[in-house]
Amino acid sequence: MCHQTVSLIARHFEARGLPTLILGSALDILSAGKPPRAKFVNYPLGFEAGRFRDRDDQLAVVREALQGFDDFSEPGIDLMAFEWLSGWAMVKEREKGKLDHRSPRTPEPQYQSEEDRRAAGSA
Amino acid sequence: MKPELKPELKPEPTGYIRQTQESYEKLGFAPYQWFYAEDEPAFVTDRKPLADARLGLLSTAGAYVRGQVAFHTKDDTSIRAISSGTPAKNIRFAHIMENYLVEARQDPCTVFPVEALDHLQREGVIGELADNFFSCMGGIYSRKRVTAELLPGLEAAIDRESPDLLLLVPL
Repeated sequence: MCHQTVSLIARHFEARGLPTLILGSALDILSAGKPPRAKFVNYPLGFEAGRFRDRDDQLAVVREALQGFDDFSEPGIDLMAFEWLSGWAMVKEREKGKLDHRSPRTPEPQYQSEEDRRAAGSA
Repeated sequence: MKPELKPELKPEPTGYIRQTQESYEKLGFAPYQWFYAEDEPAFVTDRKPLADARLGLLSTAGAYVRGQVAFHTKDDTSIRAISSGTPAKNIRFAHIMENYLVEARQDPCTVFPVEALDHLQREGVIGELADNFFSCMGGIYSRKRVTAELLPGLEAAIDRESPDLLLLVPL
């Protein structure tokens, strides 16, 4: 869903004259949304900007993605060659057997912690 | 650039649209109507080189910082401004797909790359960073609400930062 939303946003801002680039991990949704420029990293959702606690990988992913601003000469999606098989295995094991990953739809703010709720004055 | 040679990716890229269709069918839900663009996007050819540009960032991972109201999960179209100098440890997330945020809640840089962007700016790869980055909760089921509510809010927010280039990172 997020990849669809960013495709709509990217198309909108590019049409207003602001060059955009998506760094994303859902190739089929990006392909459907035809954004102006996208760099695809084949990592599980939640790791679009690089591996967990791996600053070198995060820097390499973001560095290569940003290069797209200078390199694209026409609309498209560039597939980057990063691999992370152990990351896929970790996520696959966690999601095994689950059909619906969505949280309940509610208009209540979903704080990460009770401390955050208190800090926002919503206790 | 249009890639001529595509890397052989392992595993094969996931078919999220097909996966969603199959799970919705098993759950007895109506099929989700995905957006398929019918026309080519606009494409700005006259743009500043990255090394001279002011870069903006928009995350749709529902990022917020302590003290801000967290996002809700019912087509929330609000926006949060997050200073580009915010330490990664101060970034939190609220999103309808929180199963994808298990690790990001321990290491926000997996989806909100503040540290990598700061590093690349100091290295000179990026000219400068916008003072404020932005975040929204991209799990918005209604495309009409994206167009009617989210986009106008983003226009106002992002225009204030005057970026030359905009990086978008979905969840």
